[in-house]
Amino acid sequence: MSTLKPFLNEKVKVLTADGRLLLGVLEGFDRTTNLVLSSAKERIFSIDEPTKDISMGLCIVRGNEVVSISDYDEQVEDSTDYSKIFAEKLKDTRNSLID
Amino acid sequence: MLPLYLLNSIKGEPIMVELKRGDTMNGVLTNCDSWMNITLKDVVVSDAHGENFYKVKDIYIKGIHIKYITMSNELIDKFREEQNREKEHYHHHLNNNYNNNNNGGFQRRGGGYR
Repeated sequence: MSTLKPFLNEKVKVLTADGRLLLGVLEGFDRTTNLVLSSAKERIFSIDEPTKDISMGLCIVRGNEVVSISDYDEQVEDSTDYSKIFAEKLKDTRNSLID
Repeated sequence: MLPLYLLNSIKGEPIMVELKRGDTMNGVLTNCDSWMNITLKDVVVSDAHGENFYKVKDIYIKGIHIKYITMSNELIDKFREEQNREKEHYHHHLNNNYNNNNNGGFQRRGGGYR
């Protein structure tokens, strides 16, 4: 079984079921993938406005909601000017029959 | 380290809970259990669109409806402190056991057969 142990105390990006991207340090997790993220922030993309970061502080994310967790290259991240990036909002996991 | 452990250690702190439905509740955590069911007091509830606000004295939220819980980042220090305290207590306990065993060890005396 693969666990999240390699990600402990690392900076991670988390995708949630409602189409949110969270960044933070993974402080802890449990069997159901409930997560503890510290210094967490949500990154909101939009086509019309520059990318926004909203600070969320210390965060417990319910395991149900977690889609994926990954680490990232800090250098690439720091050198990216997100205020110049415009992108479509991330989709949530709810698929409807109509587009 | 464990999410539910963190939740237990922040009883009495103000937190923000967002439900799967999108409603947000801001209040003081009074209790929680292993299913993440929680009770809050002095709560301000607002709907997903942030249009209406309700003030409620006590509320019980079932864990399965929670999307996430947010709180002040400074609480991580309180949390780490408790972790360190536990680690020290554990190591101290281990060391004590080791020392005791040595002292109470069985001593053999030499003796000849006559």
